[in-house]
Amino acid sequence: MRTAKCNVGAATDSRASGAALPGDWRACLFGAGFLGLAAWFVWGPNLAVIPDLRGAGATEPVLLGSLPRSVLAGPQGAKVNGFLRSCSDCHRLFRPRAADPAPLRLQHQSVVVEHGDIVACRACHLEPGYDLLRLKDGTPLPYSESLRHCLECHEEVRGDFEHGLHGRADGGWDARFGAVRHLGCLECHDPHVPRLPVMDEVRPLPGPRTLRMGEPRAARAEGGR
Amino acid sequence: MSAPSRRAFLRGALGGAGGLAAAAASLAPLGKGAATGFSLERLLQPHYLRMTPEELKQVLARVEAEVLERHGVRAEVNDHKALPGVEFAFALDIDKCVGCRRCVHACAAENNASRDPEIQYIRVLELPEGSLDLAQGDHHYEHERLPRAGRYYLPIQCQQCADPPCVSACPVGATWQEPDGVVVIDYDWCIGCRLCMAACPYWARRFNFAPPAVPSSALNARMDYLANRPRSAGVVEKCHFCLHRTRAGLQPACVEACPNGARKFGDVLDEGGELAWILAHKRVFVLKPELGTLPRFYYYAGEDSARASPAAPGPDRE
Amino acid sequence: MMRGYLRFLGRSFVLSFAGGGRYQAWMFALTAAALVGVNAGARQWTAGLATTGLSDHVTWGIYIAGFALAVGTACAAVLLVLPLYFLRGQDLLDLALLGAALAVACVLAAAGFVIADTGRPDRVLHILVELPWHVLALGVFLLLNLHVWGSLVYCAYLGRRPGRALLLPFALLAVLWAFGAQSAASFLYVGLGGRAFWETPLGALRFAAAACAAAPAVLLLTLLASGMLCAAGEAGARALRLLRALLVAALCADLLLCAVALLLEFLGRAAPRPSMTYLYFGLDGRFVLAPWIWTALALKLLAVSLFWLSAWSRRKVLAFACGAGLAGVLVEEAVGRITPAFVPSPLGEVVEYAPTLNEALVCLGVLAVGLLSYSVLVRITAAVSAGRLTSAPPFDSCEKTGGPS
Repeated sequence: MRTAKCNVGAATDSRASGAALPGDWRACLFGAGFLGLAAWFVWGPNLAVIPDLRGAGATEPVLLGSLPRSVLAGPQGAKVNGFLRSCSDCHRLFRPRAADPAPLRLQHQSVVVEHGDIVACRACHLEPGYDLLRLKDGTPLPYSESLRHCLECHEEVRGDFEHGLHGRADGGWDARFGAVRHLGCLECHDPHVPRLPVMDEVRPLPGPRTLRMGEPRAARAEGGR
Repeated sequence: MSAPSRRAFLRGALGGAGGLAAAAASLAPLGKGAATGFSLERLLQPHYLRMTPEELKQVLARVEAEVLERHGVRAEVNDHKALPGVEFAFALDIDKCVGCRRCVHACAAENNASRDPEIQYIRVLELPEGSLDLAQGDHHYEHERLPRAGRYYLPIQCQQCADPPCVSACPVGATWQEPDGVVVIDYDWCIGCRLCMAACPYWARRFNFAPPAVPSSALNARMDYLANRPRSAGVVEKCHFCLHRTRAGLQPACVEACPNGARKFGDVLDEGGELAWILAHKRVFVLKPELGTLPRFYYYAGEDSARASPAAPGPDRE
Repeated sequence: MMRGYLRFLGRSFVLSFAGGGRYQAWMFALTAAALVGVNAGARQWTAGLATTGLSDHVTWGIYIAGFALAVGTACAAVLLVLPLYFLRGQDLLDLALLGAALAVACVLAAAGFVIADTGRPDRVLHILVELPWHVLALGVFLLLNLHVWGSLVYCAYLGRRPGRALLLPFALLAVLWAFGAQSAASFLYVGLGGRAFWETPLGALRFAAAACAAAPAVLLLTLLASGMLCAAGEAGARALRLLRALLVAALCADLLLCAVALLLEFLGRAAPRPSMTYLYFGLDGRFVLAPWIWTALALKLLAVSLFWLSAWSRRKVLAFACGAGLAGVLVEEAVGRITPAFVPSPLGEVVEYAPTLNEALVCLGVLAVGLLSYSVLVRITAAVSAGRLTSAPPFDSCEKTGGPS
């Protein structure tokens, strides 16, 4: 059996198999094959395709340079019939009822108070007149010093705040490169609803559209939102 | 005898010529120009750390010329060196992060990262509160309002490890750690083998799978050689703590973009600085500490946050 | 001396082109495949690696898998075969030559895979400038094997016994170096932190077992296909038996280690690593790899059972069993060694990878280049060992060595 195999093996060698097709004709055939290949390389379809990623409608996400921040830190007042009035202009005459009902029915309807246990205006605003804030012991305090007023209850923030941690800061990462301005409490928090209200007004920016990325886990795990 | 052999030779030659033609034609796609922006000048350019000051100047000028040619923007390509005696570190308050992804997009804009396909250095994970199992994170959340109740947000970017696995993995030394702790890449030395990406346990490195596309109108012209200068296809890039900004005293773009001040950046060696205060007073953690990579990116949960107080309702509470 | 050597090189060069119809058709097919691969590679370089199935999540695919397997096979070929030659007798010279030739071809293919994988092939020079230790290990390994193969073949061509001083130290070094090169390939990834899939001592063992199965399988198929068995006679039969024993042992070890790994993973651990779950059963409803890994396992089992059924005495069955074993190893390495480590990503995302057509063509091209060089080396080896290519004048007639006349 082995000898028979060996003959087959020998047949693959140069001497024997030339009978079927002479070597030079074979070369011709291979040459034609190569030329066909060359043609395919030049004119054939491009198999190296890159998946379309962003689609046609993709745009640069709009980055807000500065977010809408509360301006409650400024001098307080309200526009009445187009004129800026101080608080005491009205509250000299109108004095809130002692009970201080939380949803105000006639004035300041837009004011919603969700500030821990605090429901009474008088807890923070100094009576009468309402032109000033008040500390717990009744000491009057201008609105510009609201920081002191806030820290009176939120003592736990004092350390962070004084070390520049509590909120964001504008400027460099160190004072030696120029002034660093730490934002005040009321630039991020609405004192009536102090939980970061800013983000409620700003839509989150879109998620990644990178090459061959995954898909939302929530969509798979929970079957939608 | 001679005529048949000549004919045989001609036929043999046809085979050879066909082979050569196919070999030449197989390289035809290169005629369209390689995606990699190949140039001899770049090929012969030495490693950044081995450049003489004159060579460096020439290279910076060349990059500026390339930007001008490609984008029509007169860019300023600097080479800010590490500030002496400074070691940069990052701290992020996960209680303050609401997952708005402003950092992600500010980073891409600042660093001239490719928009198509998108390359983002920062990935924000939405995780169930109380869990640090990253596998439960959602990278692709899209909500009308943030944050969702019962979820917290964990932005992850290059952790600038003190013992970076990516650096020791690189076979050509194209990535290294600077004296200020920032792990940088010489985009002109990187061969694109992606060993560093396989080595990174934080999935912080990105590869230019296609020629990066940055709209010329959105190009940030303030550049650094090791930072946000335009990359080419086939190289790796990643967060570099915005060293073109931070070495000049500015905050990183992501810190500047964060509306809530969740991100804090500074010199960890400055004893009076914010970072030192955080490390001393906050319950700080790092990601995957068991790997011994010693990240310079610290996470903490500030106990003072308004979100942490039980009285404050989440925005999408029913 | 020098002229004689140049003459040997020249005749070898002619011989590598000349041959019967099947040989030439085989070489034509390989050349065409190599060119297709070069073309696909040029397209990849033009458009970027986005033309592959790779992503930021799965950064390595079949290129690196091919690289690892090529290096592993090269090392296994040397490790298994050279000691056989030096310890078990001179009549295994053919086998030693084939082993060294396979090692050379595999290292070339490995280099091809690396170049295909890099995003900047134009900067491959930087590797030589920096010369990391894995490249050094592979380069020296290539040179050692070229030397071993070349000196053995040349001595056989001259009809001399190889000088021990010139050969033995290098052969010994090549065997020892094979360990180094093997670790260079496997530790390329095993040493990387943060990828739990690779962090197991079983991994390196399984890789070694697979490579030790691949090398004898290729050598066996070479012996069967090249007709060298007949020329070698009884020695050829002995080589065949030894290779078969090696192949069966390696396949059995591979299957055993696979069983151990599966048992440890899914019964011995409190929670199996997600990558292993993904590989064998799928994760989060994604299971591209699972059918392949089970196919590989089935192919290996088929190969082993064919060997055990003693039907191997028939050459066709033997060839089929070898082919099945080799295919099993190829599929397992392509699917189960590299990619699963990236799924899920370090941040827990499950993004799957499947090679694109262009990527597969590049792979085909690299394999073709490896096979092309291997075929040339085998052709020279076979001619020398059959006495058709020899410096001795009486048998040196043009019809035996000449080209297509």
